[in-house]
Amino acid sequence: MICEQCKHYIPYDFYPYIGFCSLENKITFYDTECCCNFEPKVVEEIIEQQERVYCMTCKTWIYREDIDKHRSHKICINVVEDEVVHEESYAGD
Amino acid sequence: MFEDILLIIGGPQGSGLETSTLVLTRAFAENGYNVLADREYYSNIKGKHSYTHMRVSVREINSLAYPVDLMVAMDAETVFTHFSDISKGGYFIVDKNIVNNDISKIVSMEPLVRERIIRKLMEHGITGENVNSIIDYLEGQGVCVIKLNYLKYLKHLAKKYKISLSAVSRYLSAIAIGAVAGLIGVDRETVFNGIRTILAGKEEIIKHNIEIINLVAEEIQNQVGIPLKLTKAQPKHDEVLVVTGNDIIAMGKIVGGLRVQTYYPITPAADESFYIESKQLLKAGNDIIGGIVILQTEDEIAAIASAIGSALAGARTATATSGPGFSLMVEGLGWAGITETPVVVTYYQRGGPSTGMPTRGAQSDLLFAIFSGHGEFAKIVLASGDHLEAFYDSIEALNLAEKYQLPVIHLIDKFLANSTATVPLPDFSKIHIDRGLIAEKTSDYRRFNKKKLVSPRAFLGSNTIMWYTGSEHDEDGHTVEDPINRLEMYEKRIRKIEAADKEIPVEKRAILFGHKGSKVLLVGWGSVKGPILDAVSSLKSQDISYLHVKMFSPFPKDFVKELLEESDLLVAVEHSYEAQIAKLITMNTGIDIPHSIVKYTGRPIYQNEIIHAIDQILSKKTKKVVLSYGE
Repeated sequence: MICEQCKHYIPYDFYPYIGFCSLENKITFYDTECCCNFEPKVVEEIIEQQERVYCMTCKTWIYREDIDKHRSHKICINVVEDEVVHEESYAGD
Repeated sequence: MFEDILLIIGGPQGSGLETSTLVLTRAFAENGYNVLADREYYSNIKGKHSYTHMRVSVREINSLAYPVDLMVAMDAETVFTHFSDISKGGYFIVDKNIVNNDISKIVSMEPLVRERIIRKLMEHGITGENVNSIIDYLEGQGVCVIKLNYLKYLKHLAKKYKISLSAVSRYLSAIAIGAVAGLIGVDRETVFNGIRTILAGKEEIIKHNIEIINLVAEEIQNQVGIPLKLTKAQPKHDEVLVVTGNDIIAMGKIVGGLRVQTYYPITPAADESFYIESKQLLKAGNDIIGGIVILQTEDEIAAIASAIGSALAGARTATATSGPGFSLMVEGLGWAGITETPVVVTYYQRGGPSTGMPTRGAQSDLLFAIFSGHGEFAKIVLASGDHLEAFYDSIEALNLAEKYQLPVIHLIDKFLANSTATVPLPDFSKIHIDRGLIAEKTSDYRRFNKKKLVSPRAFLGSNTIMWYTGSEHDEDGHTVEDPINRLEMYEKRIRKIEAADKEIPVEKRAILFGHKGSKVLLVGWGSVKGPILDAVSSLKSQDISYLHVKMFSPFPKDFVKELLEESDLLVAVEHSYEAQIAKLITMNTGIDIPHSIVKYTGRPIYQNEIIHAIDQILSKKTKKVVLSYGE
């Protein structure tokens, strides 16, 4: 088992191979061998605990009522958004 | 060794491309090279595909071209989008962690783009739809594909240092920088200088970036050496600016004595106002000697109204906007016209109509700018063709507005606004500030004194009485409808354009590159100047000249007419459907321009496209060439 399969793995949105372990509070990688705290991602459980989840396949937040369309996708409890993205982007409107 | 290199760095918008572009541009500039880099991005701003298209050269460069010698893909979408843009014998850097990614799984790709790329894959005989299939194809075409493990660099950093996950874009950009630096063999210290400047104050991130750049560059050089080494530069200038179009126009306005800038944020104009705001305290050494008021208003109607108000109070004033914003400003412009208020509108054109394509370029607003506003009133309209022109023109616009007391529209386009270039330092001896005729204190002051075409201007808030109204008015400014007064005031305002026509030297209104009587005369304006000049330069054996029009109101009709009459084949070049410059020329000179090279995809015109289009016209295959290259 690898971190990517664990429900505590929070990927970075632009490059999901690097992420954060919400349990251990540390940076980890998608292919790091899981630790003893591994808990598999079960979509039903996750969606019951929180109203919305992040779909890494579609790169969007999804709500409980839409979960069926995303069952075969890579779901995660959260995503790390880049905080310096505003420095990389031109004004857009 | 190379004298000229073209490259693309592509990835999701917000993932570090801007940093890569700025660092590399500075590094190349420090090594004495000329650089031009264009950023293309979707209007959703974050996440969708964006890329930097850059040219580095020992020669002066004015435009970009295809195919490119080097491509760095930060994601799979870049591979699919740009695989056909790389030359045989070129170099392609890709992340080995994404080689199994399928085009169908790229959610950020628009469905129409996906369909078009799948057709392109089939046309190139590529049977699979994943990155590996493209890699196999490129290697078969003689492209050297270098698969790097981007994850390895991140793991290396994470193991050694405490890295910030919320700023991973900073590290990804270092991979792109290292790849380019490695293949081209740029002096590494100049790259680090670029990093230190762009990421100033973030010492840990600078250290991490330098480490990644070294790792990536060394790994590449161990694999393939330095295959794209540039010839040593022989720079003409000791110092250059590394600026975008937005930056340099902002600089021009500041140097030109701007005191108030109003704006409502709109792409691609807003960055100019943000730059002015960052420099709004004017300093001489450590002393603050003045300031510029930057006012963000609730909409563009308020922006033009505020600008007019501040101009009436005596401040040298401008506003900046794009097509949708200018549409809202038009009524205000009429008010400025009838009240003879000097105000500059820096108009950044983008794809229209309506919201259109906010982050893509166009030149389709020329006639709109010239004929904007109901009723007839004098306005000056000028346009800039490159960064240095834009600097001087932004000062000239302020001068002309105050000299003739009328609105001045300074046309730019998105390509110029968002491209970063190395620009020689402006010649400050060429700059002067003209505030026009300012009234001395007088007991018998009449703001719209008919004795002079341009009446002495007093400011609101001074000890002088005047009235302003959008209605027709007498010399004091009171509303009147007397027909003879109307006639005289109307002519007073309109004839300013005739005065400007006589007084503004022709070299500020149109420039001929080449010679009179050439077999082919290309006519254009704005940023088509760059690709046309580069194309004409590479077609030296053909007798082609370029007429670059800078001012449209008043139009330099005698100069233009004489040149057009002496050439055999006339071709208008423009980012529009109708080649509006051709229509304007016909209106002013009576001469028809039967041929055109146009582009309206929102992407820049490239040097190679102009060359091919000229060939098509000369071989009589077509009268109108519609360009469409580029993603």
